[in-house]
Amino acid sequence: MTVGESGEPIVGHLSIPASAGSGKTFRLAHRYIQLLALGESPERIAAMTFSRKAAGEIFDTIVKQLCKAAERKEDAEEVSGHADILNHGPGEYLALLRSLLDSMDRLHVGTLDSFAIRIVQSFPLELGITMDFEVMETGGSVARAARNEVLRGILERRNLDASAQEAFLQSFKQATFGQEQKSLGRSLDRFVDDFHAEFRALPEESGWGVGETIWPGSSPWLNPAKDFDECGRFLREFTAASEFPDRVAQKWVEFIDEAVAYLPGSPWVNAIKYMMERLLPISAELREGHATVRLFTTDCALNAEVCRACLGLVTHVMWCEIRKNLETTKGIFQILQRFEAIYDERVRKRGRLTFDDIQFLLSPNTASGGGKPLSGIPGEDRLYIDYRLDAQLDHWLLDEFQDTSDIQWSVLENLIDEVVQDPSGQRTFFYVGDVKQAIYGWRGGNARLFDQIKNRYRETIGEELLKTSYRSCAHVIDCVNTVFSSLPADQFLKETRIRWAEAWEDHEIAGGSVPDNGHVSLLSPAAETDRFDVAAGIVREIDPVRRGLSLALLVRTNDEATDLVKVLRGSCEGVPVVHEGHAGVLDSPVVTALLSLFKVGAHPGDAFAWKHILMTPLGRIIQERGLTRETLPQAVLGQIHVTGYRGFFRDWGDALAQVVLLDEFGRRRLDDLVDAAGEFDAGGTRDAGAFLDFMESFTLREGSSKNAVRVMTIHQAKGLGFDVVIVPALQGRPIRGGGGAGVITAYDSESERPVWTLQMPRKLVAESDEVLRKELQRHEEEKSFEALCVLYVAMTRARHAMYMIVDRPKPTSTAYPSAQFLLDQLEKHGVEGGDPPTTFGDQPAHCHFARGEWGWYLSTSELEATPAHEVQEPVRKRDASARALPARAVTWRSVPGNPFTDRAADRLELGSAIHNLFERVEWLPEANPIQAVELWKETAPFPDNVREAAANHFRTACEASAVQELFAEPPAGAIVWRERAFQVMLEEGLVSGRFDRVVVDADDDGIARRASIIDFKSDSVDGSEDLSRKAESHRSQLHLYRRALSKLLPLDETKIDCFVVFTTVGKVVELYALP
Amino acid sequence: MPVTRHFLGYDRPQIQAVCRFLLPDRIRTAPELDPLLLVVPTRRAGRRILECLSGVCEEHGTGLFPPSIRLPTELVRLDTSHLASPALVLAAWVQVLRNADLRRFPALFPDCPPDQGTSWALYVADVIQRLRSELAEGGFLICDIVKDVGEDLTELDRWRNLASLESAYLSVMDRTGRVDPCTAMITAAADPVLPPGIRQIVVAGVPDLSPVVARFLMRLGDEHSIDLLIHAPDSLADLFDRWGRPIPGEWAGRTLEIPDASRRICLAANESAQAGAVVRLLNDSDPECSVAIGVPDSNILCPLRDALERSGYTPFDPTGRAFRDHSLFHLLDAWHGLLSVGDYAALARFMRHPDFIRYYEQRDICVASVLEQLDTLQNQHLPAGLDEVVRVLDDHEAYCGETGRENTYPELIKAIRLLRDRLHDFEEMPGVESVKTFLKDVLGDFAPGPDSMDAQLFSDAADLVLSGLEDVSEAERANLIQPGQDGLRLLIHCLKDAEMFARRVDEELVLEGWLEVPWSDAQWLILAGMNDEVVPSGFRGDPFLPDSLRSKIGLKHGEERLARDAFLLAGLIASRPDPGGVTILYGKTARSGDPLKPSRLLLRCSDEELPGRARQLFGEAEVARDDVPPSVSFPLDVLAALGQEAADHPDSLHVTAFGTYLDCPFRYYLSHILRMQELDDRKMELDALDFGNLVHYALEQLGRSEELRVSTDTERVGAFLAESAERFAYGRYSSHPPLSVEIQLRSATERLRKAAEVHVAELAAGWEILDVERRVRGEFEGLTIVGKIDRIDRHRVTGACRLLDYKTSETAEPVAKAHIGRRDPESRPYASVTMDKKQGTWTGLQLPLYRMLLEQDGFGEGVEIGYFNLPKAAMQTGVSMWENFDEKLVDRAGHCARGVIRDIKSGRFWPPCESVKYDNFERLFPSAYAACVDEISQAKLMPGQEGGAAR
Ligand code: SF4
Repeated sequence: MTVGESGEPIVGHLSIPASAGSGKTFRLAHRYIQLLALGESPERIAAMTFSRKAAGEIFDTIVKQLCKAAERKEDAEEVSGHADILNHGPGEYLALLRSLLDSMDRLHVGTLDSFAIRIVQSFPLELGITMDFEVMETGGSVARAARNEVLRGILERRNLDASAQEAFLQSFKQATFGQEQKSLGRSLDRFVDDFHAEFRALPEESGWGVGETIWPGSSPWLNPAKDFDECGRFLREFTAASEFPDRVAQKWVEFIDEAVAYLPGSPWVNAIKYMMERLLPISAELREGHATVRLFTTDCALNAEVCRACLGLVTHVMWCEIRKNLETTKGIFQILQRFEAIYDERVRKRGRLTFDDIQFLLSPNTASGGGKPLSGIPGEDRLYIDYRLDAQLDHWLLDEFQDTSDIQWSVLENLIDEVVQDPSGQRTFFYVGDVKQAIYGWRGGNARLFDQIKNRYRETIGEELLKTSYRSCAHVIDCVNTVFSSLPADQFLKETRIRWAEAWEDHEIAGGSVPDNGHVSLLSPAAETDRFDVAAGIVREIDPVRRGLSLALLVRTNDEATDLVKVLRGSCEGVPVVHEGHAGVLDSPVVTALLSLFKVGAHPGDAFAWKHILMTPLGRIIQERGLTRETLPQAVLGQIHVTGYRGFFRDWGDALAQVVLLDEFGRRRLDDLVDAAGEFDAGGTRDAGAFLDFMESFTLREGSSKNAVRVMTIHQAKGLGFDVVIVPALQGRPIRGGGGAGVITAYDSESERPVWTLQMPRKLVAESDEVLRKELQRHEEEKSFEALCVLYVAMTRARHAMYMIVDRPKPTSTAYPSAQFLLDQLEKHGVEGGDPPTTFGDQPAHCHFARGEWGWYLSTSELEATPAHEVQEPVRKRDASARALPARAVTWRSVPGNPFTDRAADRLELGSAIHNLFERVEWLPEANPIQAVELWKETAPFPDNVREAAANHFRTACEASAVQELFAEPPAGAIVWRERAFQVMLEEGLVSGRFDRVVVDADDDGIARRASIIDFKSDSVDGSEDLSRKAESHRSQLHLYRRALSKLLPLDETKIDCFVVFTTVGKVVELYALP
Repeated sequence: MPVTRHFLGYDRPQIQAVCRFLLPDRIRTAPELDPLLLVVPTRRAGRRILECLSGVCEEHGTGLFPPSIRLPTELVRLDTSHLASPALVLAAWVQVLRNADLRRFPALFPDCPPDQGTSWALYVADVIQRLRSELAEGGFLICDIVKDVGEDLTELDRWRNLASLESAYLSVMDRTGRVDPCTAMITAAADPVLPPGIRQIVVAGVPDLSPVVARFLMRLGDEHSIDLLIHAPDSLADLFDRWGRPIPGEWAGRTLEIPDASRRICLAANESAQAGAVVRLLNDSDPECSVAIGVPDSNILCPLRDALERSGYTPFDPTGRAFRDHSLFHLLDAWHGLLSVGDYAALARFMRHPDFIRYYEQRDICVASVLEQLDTLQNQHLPAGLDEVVRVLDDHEAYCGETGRENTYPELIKAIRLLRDRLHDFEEMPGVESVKTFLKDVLGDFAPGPDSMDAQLFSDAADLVLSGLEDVSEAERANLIQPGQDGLRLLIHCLKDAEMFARRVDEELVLEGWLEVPWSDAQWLILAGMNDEVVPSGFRGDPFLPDSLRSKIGLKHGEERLARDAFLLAGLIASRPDPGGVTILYGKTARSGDPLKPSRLLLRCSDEELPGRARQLFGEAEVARDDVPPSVSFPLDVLAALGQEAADHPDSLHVTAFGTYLDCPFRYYLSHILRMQELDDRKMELDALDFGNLVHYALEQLGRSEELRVSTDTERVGAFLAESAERFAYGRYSSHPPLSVEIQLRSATERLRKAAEVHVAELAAGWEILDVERRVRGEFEGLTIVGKIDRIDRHRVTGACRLLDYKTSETAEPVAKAHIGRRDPESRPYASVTMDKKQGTWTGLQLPLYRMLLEQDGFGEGVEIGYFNLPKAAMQTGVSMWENFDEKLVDRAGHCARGVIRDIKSGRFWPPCESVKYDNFERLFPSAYAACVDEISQAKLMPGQEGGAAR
């Protein structure tokens, strides 16, 4: 608690359960402002959330509120009111604004992910990082490609030693329990998807499918009767002896036969199912030794002996079933563990980490042992996190807390514990979230943390409710209240109802802030049409793009979204429909054609790609460029290696655009492809296979614009609001029941840590075991709660209007479909707001519930008719940058053939050694050239052999008379320049160079009369013809030098002589100026 | 002599002011600036100054003798002869780290890394060296920190650990006879040496001179004159220290005037939106006014270059090209991959490297064939790596030798042989010399033309490699690393971050970095990416040097950066009067979606302006772009793909082709006429066809074995089948096939064992194998129909015959359902059929046609037809016959077959079927077929029009 001047607490720890649209971010921003106003320095406040978008909004909101308050007294009062601040006027707020903006570089307002990344960056050695790392979007195309690499790696056995291979095959068999698979690749992929979260939560072998852990005190089913054969025999006799009707007797016999032969993994045949369904419920009686079981219409009385025998067989079957699941679970674990090991080796150790990996690295609970920096108590044990991050965090503000996963919490736990337990009362913790929106359970989000933490800090933490919607109109909120305020008792587990009731508060609306025209309805399609078509009809009727309304269609799964997008695109012409977050680039022929071009380059045998290109304008371009299927590989791969994939697609895309006039969409997609390629290039590889993998899973990252109709999953819609929401896909998963349990992880009720994981046996089996039954129930309750959350999220996105479209479900006993739930809750309240239309954009539908006017949107003004998609012609409008300076530099460096031949490399070095040596000579004969060379050799920075060779050259040259002549000091004396740099502007541009040696004959006034340029060359020379040829090859350079010197001195060109000294042979060639 | 500060004023851009200072007032002859040492902040600044100097001299009709130009750090690195190269430094560290007992450094490595391998050591070496270089700029070695700051240090133990590692490193370095660069820097500062002939030093526009350089200059100041040039008016003299550095305290609170801020500062949604904004600004600008673009945020470079190019500008990015992007680097990397990992992917990558392609192309090997054959081999044999490929090729050659068949992989064999020669050479030779040999061989006589950009780049790249090799070989000689692969890895590690100097082509628009913009003389400046943490950039996330420690020991730190950048921005704005000026762009989010904030500098306005400014800067960005409804940019000219080789009318047809045609005539056209088949090398396991072949092979062996096919010993038959399958699989996929194959093989043998039971039971029921894999053919409508019947049985007692098709799909399907589907009113009339009084449509004709062909083959009527199912679920394994298959159906099937043949012959392949079960052609049709395929093709593919318009 932050204390006031007189020591009274002003701000305490606070927990805020909120509802959808109630302004969580707004509340959090004001808390931040409040802390600032109390004099806390901004760098000591951490405000964090999950999504990047929300993170940006938090800071923007803080700044905007402060700006407002700094400008007007009334606004200052309003902000003070929201933030519970006393005595602050515009002047004070201005100061706060200033200090906040000044310390922007030291703030901790952002995503949990980015905070985690910063920690990892600061503690690389402690966390076992062995590479400069890059972060991959979890599930993004980069991560996907990496995963494919791992899958491939696993399949190649060279990565596993013989025993590991065998173990892998075994575990795979175990995991699939004889349900042999034809496609290992796909199954593996699925395995990893399905079970990875569980594996991460509990990465210990002892937790997976180990009977002792699950049933510490043992379970009756785990001690199978050793003598079940005997039991079988006894029961057969019993059946024979009893005078049961035929079919009853037959059931007994069939059961006995099947049960005795039963093995783990045996099929659950009818006879077993029938009898187990009847015997398991009476297992207690069987144990007591007298029971009756009813088969068909016959009651079979069982005496103690018979009971024991029955129990023997039942136990045997149960044991087999449980055994099977234990084994499967172990197998799954083994596979995941191996996957993990290889993934670690090939991806993480190579510095490619996903956000999940980062959290995992940091968690003190995980086996990586990497949590050190954050673990322990402050002081001795805890590493210097504040110090390295330059941050002492006194206040923690967490948004969307219901989505925190155990791993994430474990990263923060100690830091926050420290804050809450700080005895000074100067530090605070604040968190806000909506348990009703906890829909990320599948990703590890643990909404129970919300209450657990409240309970843990019960003594010190306050609570405040946010239940007023600033988003949705009254009709929407009324509808939400009607559906969720009381759940039908007969359809939900008691626990679900209690938990929901605890989280529930009737919603209110903030009049003035929410729209006042709006509409809600629950529809179902008439027989001749379906939900998606009705949805498309509504879209056509509202015509949101023209009216400037944002509209989203929410579905459950991405597959549904794909289908819905197809329907919409087919029937809503001219309306951009975007599959949010899943828009690939393959929906344009421009992209597919270019990809085929690449494919042929990398895989010239691909007839598909080749023929495809021929069908497109690319065929013509290839021809024009003189390329064939045979020559494409060299051209394509060569180009990619020089310009990257990005340059490759840009080039060919531009060529394509020149041949056909690309429409806006085609151009857009071309740019998208080029961008995607750039992203791939950034990874540094040019690998063809990796690129294909990458492109196949590539999705556009950019969000869609307001002028598009957006199709997305409910999960994606979380945190967003739209003018209109259509929910046409509430069939699928029921709100309760249905579906198998799959793999379940059980948690310790005290520590909340995962204890064991098991692939659940079939329901009948699981429900007959106390431990499993409890977990199963908990799981059901969890699933049911999450299903409610999903529905709640879907129903709270709309500002103006919401249309829910359902089919009336067929009644079933085992599941409660969401659609039925909605009908049950709403239908009884009937239709208000006028007679419902019979069709929606010509699609007939029935209405079960409605509030608000049907034509609510008619009052919304239509947008000015802006030209839909202005075609922007790519023309440049101005010439050069009009730079004053000349740009072009003249170079004459000739590239030697293959630079890797020994000769080429040595010659370069030799050349500079020789220059270095000659630089020391003023005139020849030097007093003692030999000694000079020896002296030079001692210090010259060249390898021995080069030094030796240079010295030899030098000696040869010095002995040659031509050279001696050239180096002789003129009697009248002269100025000599050695290795002198110059720079001069000639017609061809800026020439910068270095004269090896220039001798200037000047008059007394220093005016040049004549000059010679002497250039050393270490080329090998073979005969006189070669000599003149080589000399000739230097002519252009020397000519340039002559002109340069002429300008520098200044001196007429004809008065400048040029000499090339070939040091290898000690020859001098004069290059006369050409007329 | 004193150190003199010169304030250049804001009258003109910095570069002009500097040149004015350097040149004499009146230029008559070429100015001789050679005795001058000019210290500049960046290499490019140096070049620009030289250009500008030449320009001025040119105006006076002469050239000049340029000054020596140095970066500040180069001053303290003048004597290079004994300096250890970066590679040697790393090698020394690797040696120290790999052999260190990490338990002795618990504060540094609280958890021992799992292995002290080379790549770990290289990483840690990089981390420590980065730290050392930063410290050296402040004039410290690690041990100095421990000594000087000592007890005041947070994490003192960690620093002690570092210091003892450092001392181990220094002694290793000592033994090599080279000098550690950091030590050299500090020594140089204590005892400064200048190149001969230098008499004067000018430091031009260096706002962040490091302590070690300042010390160097201070010592020199005794004998040389030193001039510091500062681009600011005299009146601001108090805001700078004696080395011309803006004083953090003075600049922190200063107001920075941005005239017309509401127009001059623009927000854009993200990188590409900023790029778009730059283009728009350029297009709208006054052509008389010279423009330069500054790009502080390098993330914008790529989209910006792209946007500019698309609009017809020729932007030029003067930052170095990363060597990592050069094909020479990839060649080395691929080579290293082949040597160290050696899996198939590494091989495929190497075989596709353009340099290696050129290498074998020059030896008359056809590239396209090599790659095609490699893919084919991969698909056929799923090799794990080079060794496997070699084995397959050897086996195949032997097989062809024996049987006289044509070799399938002639070109691949040649290419692989070349590759193995190179590998052999490499292994023969010790050390990195072998790398040079390898490059020499592979690059052969490669010589790019002397003028081309590529040639320049290539030559730069080659220089880098050569000097890298030199350094690595020194490390090898000093016994710091193992010769060979380790050397190659070190080489790659050192080169991967190397940069090559980019040369200019005919540039127009230079995209300058933040430290380069002050050297631009353009009147109007556009700055893109002015976001916080870019300008000023921070030092967050440093494992050793948090900001607090930095400022404590006088290294570069946050406050100092802020001061420097405020000074730079102030100068940019102040020296550009109307009509010029500075326009500032910044982004709202990064490409990744992370939120961004505007640079703090932009908020350094007066109190009155602040709320308005902040509201403007933190406003909403316009959405980056509008969505566009999808459209088909061009339809496919399907007929253009019809080459000479593919005949319109095949002269024979396989029985299964009918099903394909009935499914969808257009897809039939694509797959059977155009033969569009994909091929790449990403196959990981057997596909359905391979799996079927495997099972078929085993069953065929059974049918051919006189003895076993009549055996009633289930065990033996099962074992025989399993063995046959194994023989097949291990033969094709090697005795150590990928795990997927192993699993599939196990699955196959399980199915086969189950099949053995069924087979024996059938035998017991009287059915004996009469023939297997029997080829059949017959004439229909003037066309030959061919096929292969898996198995023909005859009943021992009744003499009845039946033909069976082995089915290995996941689930068993009834025969009738596989041939006759639900009634489809859109289908061709000949395809309709009535069975069991229900109307249906033919979807396949395989078994009925077999029966007809067998009839022609002398089997007479009455052969029953059915499947021998071997599905996943063992329970469903068994023979399933087509009950009530009667002569009427035979007739209908014949009728249908003739209809199909007529259609095929008349070239009717349109319209396509709207939905098919498995669509291999999906990506050709992002939209409705009629839109995706051009009308001429449509018309041509539907001669006669009898079927009417497209479905
Ligand atoms: S299976 Fe045999 S014949 Fe066929 S490609 Fe492989 S080695 Fe050659």
